[in-house]
Amino acid sequence: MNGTLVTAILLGAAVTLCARAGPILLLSRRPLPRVVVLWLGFVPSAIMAAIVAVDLVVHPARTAGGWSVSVLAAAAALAVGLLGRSLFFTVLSGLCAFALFKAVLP
Amino acid sequence: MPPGIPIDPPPRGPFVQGVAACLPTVLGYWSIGFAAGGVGTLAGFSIPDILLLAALLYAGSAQFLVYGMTAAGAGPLAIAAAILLVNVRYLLMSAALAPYFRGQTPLQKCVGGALLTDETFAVASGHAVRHGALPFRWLLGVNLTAYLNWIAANGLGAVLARTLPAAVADGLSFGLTAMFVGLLLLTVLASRSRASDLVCVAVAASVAAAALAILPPNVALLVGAVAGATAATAATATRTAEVR
Repeated sequence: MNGTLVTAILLGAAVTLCARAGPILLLSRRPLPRVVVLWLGFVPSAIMAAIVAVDLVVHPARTAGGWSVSVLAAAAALAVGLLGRSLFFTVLSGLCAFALFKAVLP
Repeated sequence: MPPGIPIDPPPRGPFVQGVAACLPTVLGYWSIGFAAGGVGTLAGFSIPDILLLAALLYAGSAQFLVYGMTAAGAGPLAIAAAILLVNVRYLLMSAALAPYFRGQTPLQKCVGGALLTDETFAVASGHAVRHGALPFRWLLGVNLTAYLNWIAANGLGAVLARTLPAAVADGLSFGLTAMFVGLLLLTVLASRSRASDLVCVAVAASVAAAALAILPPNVALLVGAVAGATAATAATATRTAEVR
């Protein structure tokens, strides 16, 4: 682990600690405005959606024929996830689909 | 112990009760912690690094984020900003539990809050609603059980991922993406406002992808996330207004 990464992780840990302990310490009796609570509630899915989109665009893993193995495997993982609703099988099927598409697509 | 003192069965103190209250969630820590450790190995992190990350961040989504953003070459400030954004939900959980910490010392509040996670929040808020308070030792029992299981699960996942054959490991770089597909799916499926969450996902993904044309990946990611959350909030507010 290099120095830059250590800095990033320590910063991240400090930020996380503040988020976890800060409100308890400050005992904010006034509840947050509803619109803020609502916005914060959407942050996790927004972040994850953006991560997947950026991953798929930056690392498409194209075959010689131009197929994006990443996009196809993500679609397969999504389908399995919708059917099985299991994180484990979603990841497993994504990995299998990635290997399969890489091997068979032109 | 001096002789002659009758030995009573040890009473179940608040700490032990806290440990017991946490046990049902331990399986969840193992499944996600195992995956987090494994992904760390696949992303090229050493086992001590992975354990340190699990101990310092103690948050699955933030750990996945560090692995993914490091692989993408992101700088420390971008990584810290992203961690802040994914962990911003803790502000809400912490605020929700705050009233039940009255009467504790600042250090006790700090220790109780520092190990807050999605699962311990669920356990603690249930207890708080039933009993009206979160005793320090009870919460410590909950938190330490969760924390130690999380680190152990990360370590075992990291070790086992290392023993995979090279041919299998080759395609595994996609595991991180597949993990986020799965986490995203579970988040949306569990949501009580699914239509708004779909707006959120669609806007976040398309804005992030479009922003890649002019911004580096880590900044595009944050721009997409903010756009998605804002669009979903606007959509929800509009719909609520219509209902009224």
